[in-house]
Amino acid sequence: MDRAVTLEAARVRPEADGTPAIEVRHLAHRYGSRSIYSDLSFSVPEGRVVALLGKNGVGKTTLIRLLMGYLRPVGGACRVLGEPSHNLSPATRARIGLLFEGHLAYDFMSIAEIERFYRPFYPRWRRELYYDLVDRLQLPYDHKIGNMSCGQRSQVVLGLIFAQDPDLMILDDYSMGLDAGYRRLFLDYLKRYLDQGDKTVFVTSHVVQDMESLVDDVIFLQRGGALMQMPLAEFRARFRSFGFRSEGGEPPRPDGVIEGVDLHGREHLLYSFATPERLAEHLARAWPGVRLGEERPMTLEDAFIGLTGKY
Amino acid sequence: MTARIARWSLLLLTVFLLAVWLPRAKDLLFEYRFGKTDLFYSPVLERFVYKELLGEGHQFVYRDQDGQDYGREAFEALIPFIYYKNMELWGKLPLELAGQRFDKAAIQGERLVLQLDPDELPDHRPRIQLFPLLEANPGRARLRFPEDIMRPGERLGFIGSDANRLDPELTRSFSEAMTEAGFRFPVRTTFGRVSILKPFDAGYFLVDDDGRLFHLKRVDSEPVVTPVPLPEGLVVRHVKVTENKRGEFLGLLLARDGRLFLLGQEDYALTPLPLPDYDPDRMALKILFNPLNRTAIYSDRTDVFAVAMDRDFRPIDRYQREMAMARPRLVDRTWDALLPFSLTLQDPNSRYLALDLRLHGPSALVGLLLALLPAYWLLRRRGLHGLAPIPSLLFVAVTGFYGLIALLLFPPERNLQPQRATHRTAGAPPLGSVVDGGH
Amino acid sequence: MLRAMFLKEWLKLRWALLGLLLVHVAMLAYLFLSVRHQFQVEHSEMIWYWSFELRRLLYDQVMLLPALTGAVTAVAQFGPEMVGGRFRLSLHLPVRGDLLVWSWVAVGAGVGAVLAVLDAAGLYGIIALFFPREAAASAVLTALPWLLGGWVAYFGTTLVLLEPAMRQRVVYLMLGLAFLGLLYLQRGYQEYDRILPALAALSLLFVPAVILPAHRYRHRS
Repeated sequence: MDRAVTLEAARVRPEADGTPAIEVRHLAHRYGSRSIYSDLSFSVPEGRVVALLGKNGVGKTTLIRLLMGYLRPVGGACRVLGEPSHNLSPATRARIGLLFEGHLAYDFMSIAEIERFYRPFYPRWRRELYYDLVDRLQLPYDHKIGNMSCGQRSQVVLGLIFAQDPDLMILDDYSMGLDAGYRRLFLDYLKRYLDQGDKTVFVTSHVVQDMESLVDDVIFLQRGGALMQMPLAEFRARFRSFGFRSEGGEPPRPDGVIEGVDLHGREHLLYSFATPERLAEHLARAWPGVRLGEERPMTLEDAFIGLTGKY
Repeated sequence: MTARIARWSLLLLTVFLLAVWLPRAKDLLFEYRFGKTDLFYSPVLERFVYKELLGEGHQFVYRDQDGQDYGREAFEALIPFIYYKNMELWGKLPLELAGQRFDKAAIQGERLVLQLDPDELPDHRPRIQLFPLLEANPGRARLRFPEDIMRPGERLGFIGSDANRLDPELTRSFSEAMTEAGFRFPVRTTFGRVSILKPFDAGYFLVDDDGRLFHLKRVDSEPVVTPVPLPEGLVVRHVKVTENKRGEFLGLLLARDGRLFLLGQEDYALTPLPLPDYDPDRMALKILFNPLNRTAIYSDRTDVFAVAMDRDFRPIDRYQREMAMARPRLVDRTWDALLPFSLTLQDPNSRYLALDLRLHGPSALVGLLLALLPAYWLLRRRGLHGLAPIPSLLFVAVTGFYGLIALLLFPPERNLQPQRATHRTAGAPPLGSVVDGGH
Repeated sequence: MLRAMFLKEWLKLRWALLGLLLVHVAMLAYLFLSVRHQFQVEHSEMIWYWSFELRRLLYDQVMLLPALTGAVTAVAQFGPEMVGGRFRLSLHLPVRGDLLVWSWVAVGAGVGAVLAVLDAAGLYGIIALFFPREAAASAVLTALPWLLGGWVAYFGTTLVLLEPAMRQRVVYLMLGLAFLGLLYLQRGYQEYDRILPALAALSLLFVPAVILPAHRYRHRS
């Protein structure tokens, strides 16, 4: 990606010392002849909470599977905690907490059994964190995970990850199947846990709104493998939305300064990282028929859609 | 690393199973009626004659050893003692041959067929070492099984079949009788014919710890034990007991060194049979008796041999021929050229299953070369260059199409490295062991 | 760690194991009754004659039981791992993946071995009630290839279940069946006595083999 924004963001972001928690370089992957991305590069410094955002079908799941080590990249490198993600040593795996889509867990185990199962594998096991979370469910310890609701299971799974005390967490779509209450609960516990510091989190979610209070950085993945990474605060500060009218001529299209155009709503909207002055200047030159209106306030979800489009 | 071992294990397993099952499938598709050549000594011509199946179906030739063809009826008239019932039907009895006359009774009185097949040999078939010792003098027409069974071992045990318990009295009396006759326990081997469908019961022949042979019978519920004198140095391998009405011979005795003897019924006299090239481990043997001659005919899957003898087992003539059906057909030759070897489990000469590797010989080089080309192409397509495809190619070079199929089923992992190198030349950090990343 | 692994295998296996145990005991009981029935309706010396000389197997009802047991054990162990891709959970544990899979099959094979010993002892005991001990020993020797069938069926099913790609699953299925097909060729007793060591040695190739589908599962290559 050679967009100015990305370069700028890269300059602004302070690189942590040592190797980044996740480092993706020139990553290429394809299924058969269908290429998902041919040259993807980004890194996640230690201690950051990073959200991977993108619409369906851009290869988010593939990227997560590559990072978790369940796919071997066709080209390029994908390193997690300094090791190739598809060939992690057991010691490194112990430092990574994975949350699989759908809160995957051993259904045939009970609350107590699953804790007993995982405990011996992790030297830093923090049993109290697990039971702290699970006790709130007020279920007997011999309750089978297979008999739990999705929300209850998410608590158990989160509790297990906490108890593992990992340095890096990769959370794949934690919101799937959770109602608003359990989603909020999940986030609350996660945030509280992260407040202890020093944890790196790589998270995907369909509920973009949740990211607002959770993450430090966002990575937008777009179809064809284009990628944009920046601190969330910077994104929120610089990404703007304006109403506009077209007076004759064709409506504006994304062109590098204009990031997105939304003609679906009552009011036509235009999205850009540029300051209002620079945008006005650009429009006058490139799209003279466009009359810029007021700047519109956006939620994170609005901004996400503005950047990635509705389709 | 373990993934590589895993793959090679599967390759070996696949080749093993293919080498067993593909030949079985080929047999299923192409096996034919294997008519062995019927070879006889004609007392009329004093030459050998044979009946042989040609090709598939019912196309027989009737021929003598000089290549003279006969019609079926004429052929049967050449061996009238075999087809004496037809001779009778065609009004050709009594026969006049060699200046003698033979009526039906004379022919019947002399007729006997003794047989010994490889799968009857004791080391060619498992046998639970328990034998019913029949009453040799039942006092009635039919033989019947006793309600006890003999267990040859450190002594001669007898176990009652109803209670499944050792009979101490019977055990004691028979064991003592054996010892008194000079038998030294334990019993090494036991030979006999377990059946009640025979004209009389000859009991069992037992080999003692010193290798000596004894004959045991149960007569009027009492043991009758007779030592069988053996020539110096003869080690008994098998005694084929064939109780028959003719009364001259009790059966055949095979020595460890391959010599075969007829065992006299009254005096246990051993009559040596001169059988050149006879291999009891893979040849079926028949000895045909008729009023004028004795003929020994023995054959494996390819050749049939015959020795004609006079009444005193002195050889008169011998003959050998390759059976028409044993000549390899096109499908067999093609098969042997395509595949380097076959594995069989079942041996027609033994009841024991055994892994038998048959190498197909030099013609199999054709198949090996044919298999190597697609194997090389496949390996190149998987991105293996330089020395990397060598082990797989060697594997196919030894196992041919078996190995190629195995390679197609379990191809090596794609090597992704060189492909990347063409895309980009610098800036990529080293990958882990992409080709063979174990866990 | 080992205890934790055993815990999981035990949790997966316990009900299947109970079921299998019942089936095995029921099968042995049936075998006992059917042999006993034979001796009630026929004369004992005739049954002995059929068994020793005519090589009739009075106990071949149990022929496929070990293979069934192997398949059921594998399904009980690996079915829950495969549903919903739970195998990924195990592969992320900080243990070498191959050792993990081997520890699983060690548990499965151990369970199979216990049941095989039960079968062999039961068979020996039942036959020894009605026949001299030689026949009982012969029955166990005759049943050995069938017990090996349990091992082959277990590993064949394991390969099929661990494998992520459909095409390859079919290959493993054929492989397992092709091997199984070699273990039921008997026409009488003890015909496998000489070949069994070779077949058992070849069946050991299944032990390293189970790593390949697990490896492919991990890398989807």
